[in-house]
Amino acid sequence: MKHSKKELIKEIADLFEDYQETYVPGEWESFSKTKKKKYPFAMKWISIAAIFLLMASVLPVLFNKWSADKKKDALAILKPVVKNPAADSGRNKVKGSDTAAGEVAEIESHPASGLKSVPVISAPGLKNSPDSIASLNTAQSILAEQKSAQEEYAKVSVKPAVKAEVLSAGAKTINKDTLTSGKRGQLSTTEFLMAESRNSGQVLKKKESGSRWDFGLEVMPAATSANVNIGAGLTTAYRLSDKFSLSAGISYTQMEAGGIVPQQGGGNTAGVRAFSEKKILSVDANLKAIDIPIALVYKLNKHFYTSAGVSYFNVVSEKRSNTLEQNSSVDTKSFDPETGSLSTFKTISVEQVDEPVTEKRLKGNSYIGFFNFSIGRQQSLFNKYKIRIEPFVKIPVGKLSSEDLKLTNSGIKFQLSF
Amino acid sequence: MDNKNTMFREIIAGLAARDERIQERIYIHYWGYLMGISTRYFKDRNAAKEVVNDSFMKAFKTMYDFRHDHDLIDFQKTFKAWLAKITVRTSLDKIRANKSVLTYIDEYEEGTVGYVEVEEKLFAEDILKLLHGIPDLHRTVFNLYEIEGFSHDEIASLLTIPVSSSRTYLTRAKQKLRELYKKSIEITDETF
Repeated sequence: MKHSKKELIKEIADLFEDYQETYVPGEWESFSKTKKKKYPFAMKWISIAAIFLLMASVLPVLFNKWSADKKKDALAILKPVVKNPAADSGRNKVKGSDTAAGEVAEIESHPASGLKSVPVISAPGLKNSPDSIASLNTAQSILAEQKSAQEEYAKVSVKPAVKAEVLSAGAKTINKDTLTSGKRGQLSTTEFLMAESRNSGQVLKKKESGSRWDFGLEVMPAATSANVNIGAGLTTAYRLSDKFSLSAGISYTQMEAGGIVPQQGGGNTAGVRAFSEKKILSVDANLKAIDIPIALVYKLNKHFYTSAGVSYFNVVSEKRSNTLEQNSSVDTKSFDPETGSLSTFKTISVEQVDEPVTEKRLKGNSYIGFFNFSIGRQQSLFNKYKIRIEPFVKIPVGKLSSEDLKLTNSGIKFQLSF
Repeated sequence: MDNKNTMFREIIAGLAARDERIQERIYIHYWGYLMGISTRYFKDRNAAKEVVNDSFMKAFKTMYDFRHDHDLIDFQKTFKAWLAKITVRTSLDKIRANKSVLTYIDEYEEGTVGYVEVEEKLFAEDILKLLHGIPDLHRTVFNLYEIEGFSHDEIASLLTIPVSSSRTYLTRAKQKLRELYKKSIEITDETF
């Protein structure tokens, strides 16, 4: 066969237009194995995410119902901390030393196709083209020859490039549709190019849409008005659209919160107070809780996003202590330096006392929660992972908002997602 | 010919019935074609295989919704082009994911070889060796422009490089290919 001379680059383009290798037996079997391995992993993660979403969507509804039923009971439980039984005072330990006698301190009280279905370009103008049909018929007629040609080519092509002359002897058997069905090759290329040029702008976007799920680990140092706390957990997010995603998660939080000091009876300003009176200075609580948030995330731009949602807050362990100011009347004896006689004075001793509270108001009350607001920045890491830094504010709602603890807290979430 | 038509009819019927057993036929029939595409982008054969398998994975997820007008000839062309498109994009995704591949570019002297006429029949195996002899980024631009038919604007967007760079890389790729081809011909002439 006489070879028509062409420029190298044109020849290469033609050569690869419809080039194909010979199928290697066993490839399908190894592909099937890989496919089976990949699917269970994905299914496992999808199940976990589904459980999170289900929990996060069902629990707020239950919470509302339950909180309505329990509202009266909750009011009955509330009672001033200052009225704790005096019997507990036996366990009191003295924290501060005496303050000035008679001094009365006032305390003020203070919340995210595969490829998409790719449009297929039909070529109506070309469909009925006699040329294309003829070329296809030609192509089909050589299909039978292809197998033997492929085998022969496979043998020949093992030889190095430098032996091109030797290889040219087998030129007739080259496995290349383009040579024998040029028109058909051109048609498919035209279609391919048209489709690519139409969709080229979406390529990067589509890559992002590879998976709608996002999973991550997070740690979140946060501060209440009383102390700095820490929490850690798992998160998952499902991308609803380019801008919106729904996120849920579960985290274990340790929270130290200061309490709101209840209003105490008047008389502080009356000049004389009853002796042996206790006055509550502060309430401290150490909570260990499981927080399950659900939030709607809005992507502001490539790096920044904002999120708002609610979280279900289940207190696992609760330790409370009250700091009390205890006034007591003390008889003080002293010698008069001038006369040497013993005289007795009545003084008021003021002591600060820490008193553990056995009452656990929050533990087991699973119908409490927070409103969560945050703004975050995300940064890709090694193209596989994302780091998110997300300052947040959590404002107590429902039962928590009427509690005597100041549970409003804010902090920064550090999240690694994959 | 009849066997081939029968096979395509079976594929169409399998897609319509969402029968997963048709995957094997599609895989075996198109594996060679998709490998032909991915080996142009990756010198490492395992990487090329991985791209092909990923492409099939994507195709198998969505192929049951592949729209066609039940015309056998038309289906053959469009389905093949669709699989090719998936493979090209999967290759680019892998290249982008492994950015280091594109960051290193061999600098070589600007040659003066402007036009090389092919004296003999070219073989894909030999040309692949020449292609793998040029820097990865140059090869990618060459493939996208000369074989896949993308414009420089599209290539720039796909590879996140300036349009001018795309043009430069293409020129260098062609230049280098011509040089390598001439060298291989000379070596062959000396051998015999």
